[in-house]
Amino acid sequence: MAAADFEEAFREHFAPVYRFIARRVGTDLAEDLAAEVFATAYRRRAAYQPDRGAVRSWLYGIATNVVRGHWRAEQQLLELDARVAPDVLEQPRSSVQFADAADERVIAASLAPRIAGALAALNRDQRDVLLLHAWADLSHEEIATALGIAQGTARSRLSRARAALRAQLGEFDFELWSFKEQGHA
Amino acid sequence: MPDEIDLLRQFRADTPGPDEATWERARAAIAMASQPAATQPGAIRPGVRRRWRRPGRRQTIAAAVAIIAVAAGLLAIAMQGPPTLSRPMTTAWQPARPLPSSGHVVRAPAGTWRLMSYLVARGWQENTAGPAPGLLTCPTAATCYVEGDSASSPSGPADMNSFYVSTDGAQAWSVLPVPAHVTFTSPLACATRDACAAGALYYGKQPIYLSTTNGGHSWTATPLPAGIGMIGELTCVTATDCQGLAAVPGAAQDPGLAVPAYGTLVTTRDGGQHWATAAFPAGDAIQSLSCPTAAECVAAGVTGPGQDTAIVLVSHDGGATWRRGIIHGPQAAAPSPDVTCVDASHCQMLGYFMGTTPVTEQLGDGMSETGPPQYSVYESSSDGGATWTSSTFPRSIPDPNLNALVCPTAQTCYAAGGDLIPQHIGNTRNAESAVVAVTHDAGRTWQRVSFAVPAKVPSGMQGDSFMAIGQIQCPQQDACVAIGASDQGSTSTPVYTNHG
Repeated sequence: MAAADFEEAFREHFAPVYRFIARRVGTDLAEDLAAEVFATAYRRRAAYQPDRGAVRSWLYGIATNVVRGHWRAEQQLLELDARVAPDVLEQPRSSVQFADAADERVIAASLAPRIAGALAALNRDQRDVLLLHAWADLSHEEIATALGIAQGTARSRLSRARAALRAQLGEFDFELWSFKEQGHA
Repeated sequence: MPDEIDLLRQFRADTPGPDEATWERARAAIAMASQPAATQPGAIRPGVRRRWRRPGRRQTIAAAVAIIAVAAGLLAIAMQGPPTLSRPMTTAWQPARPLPSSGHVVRAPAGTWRLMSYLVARGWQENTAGPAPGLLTCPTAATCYVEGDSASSPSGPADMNSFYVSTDGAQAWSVLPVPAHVTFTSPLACATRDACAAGALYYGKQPIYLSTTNGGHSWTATPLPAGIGMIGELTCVTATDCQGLAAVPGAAQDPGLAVPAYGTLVTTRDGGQHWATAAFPAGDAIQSLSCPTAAECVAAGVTGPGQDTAIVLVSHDGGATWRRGIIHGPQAAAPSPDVTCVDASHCQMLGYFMGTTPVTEQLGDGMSETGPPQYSVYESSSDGGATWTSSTFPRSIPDPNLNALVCPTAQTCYAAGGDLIPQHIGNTRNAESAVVAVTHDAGRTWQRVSFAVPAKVPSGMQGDSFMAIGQIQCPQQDACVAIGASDQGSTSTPVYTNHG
């Protein structure tokens, strides 16, 4: 990869990669780790092969490996989130037609402890594919490229991860957007 | 209807993007990475927790300006390519310069660390006047060497071109010069006290074999043949007879910072003048090698599509052919297997267990952690690596994450790293504690070794340095030296010994 191409990749992808890392390990650690991702990418830019996937997948692959080195920090952050008492829960919805995006975020925030607990219970492989899909919007093919695994492996791993997350979420009613045991139904 | 992915997308959705200081920090890191010496060899060792201390904004900007200026100067060199060695180069003899002492050696009274389970007879004493984080080699109980990181920026990539020596059992340290533009890529391998060798890079690109016959006072840099990549691990039985693991030159690498792994076994019988190579089976990436004889070799590494399955390979013909060993028990890839064979029959290594069912562990201080269990295990073989048996460490070492294993005899091994016991030193608190475990019965039972730590973190250091052991060496059954976890924010590294 030429220096000019790298500069363009840095400008385009640094902010989303930083945010991806910050969502996983917190903003305190994210600054160093995001810098490490791009310093690593720069050192290894000669090894980047465009025919093996987009630069975005390559960068998120590096980011995932860097975050893996801090899995305990990620785990502790999830545990912390899981212990935080949720805010006053929203009233139950008769449907998931939210008034606006902010409305949806408020409700999701009230569910954050449960989501954090569910994520904390996943193993590292499952969490990696799930968050690459949900937070980085990577497709099966891009996840396979990012993690250096076969597409079929990425597909099955993501499928199992989604099933595991659903199992961890327990009695969550996606139609009412609340947990059944919370008594809102 | 929305699904779990929609729900997940809302989780932590309000996380802010990078501010200007964060952009600057990244630009400075990239500028640092553009320097030729700042290459992979000093990269973070697997399993060693290495934390960066965040510089102040003013420092960051000043550093960025300076680094960009240096990088611009280096650009001219880069345009015409770095120089290469075409024949061996030997440096002149240089004296050692004593490192400035930290002023005092911390000798915490026995029992101040509340995590102590018992005290070994003579105790493990800490010496904070030691070298910067690095790779430790002790050919004798008195003589130890450390390849250190001399990166000018605490947040930049490691730059393994510092070299330290102690001749009094790791109490006092001196620094010795490394040939210009040379960066270590493997720990030092010593056949005798003074005859040692290592893999290295010249100008950050050309793989070389670096050797000394006088304890590092002068060095010979010998270029490796074109077909041999960077040497990442080396073992020397005589001053001229060495075997090691080398990268395949030009091989495409998977994205990311994968565990360092190598594809070629390299052997020299004449001090690096000539080399023989043997390839490992395609698809297998090797992390650790032990050859108790010229013919018998055991290699540990990873394989599989995700390179996350542990494998062991055994050769009885010096690496010409390999056969897979059978591991009974956990087979996840260990960050640092450290396979070691004390003879042609008895081998040990570190394994790793990765569970799938979440469990909740009490960490003390009212803290708990829930998640799939993941911890180091001990694996041993009594048939030359053909079959392996896994065993766990005792409950006194919860959730061990071990970085190193050394076995001075077939019965005695030391495993070192960290575990999930909170640690308090002064006002600092870490979630983990440094741990050394010893077995005298080939792994059937393990005892946790207790050692003294200071009552508070010494000036210039960070508490993180005390939360794990990074490297351990035991040249004798009862004489060991260990150094703390790497921490780029610290100006020195704790050094532990159980003798002297």
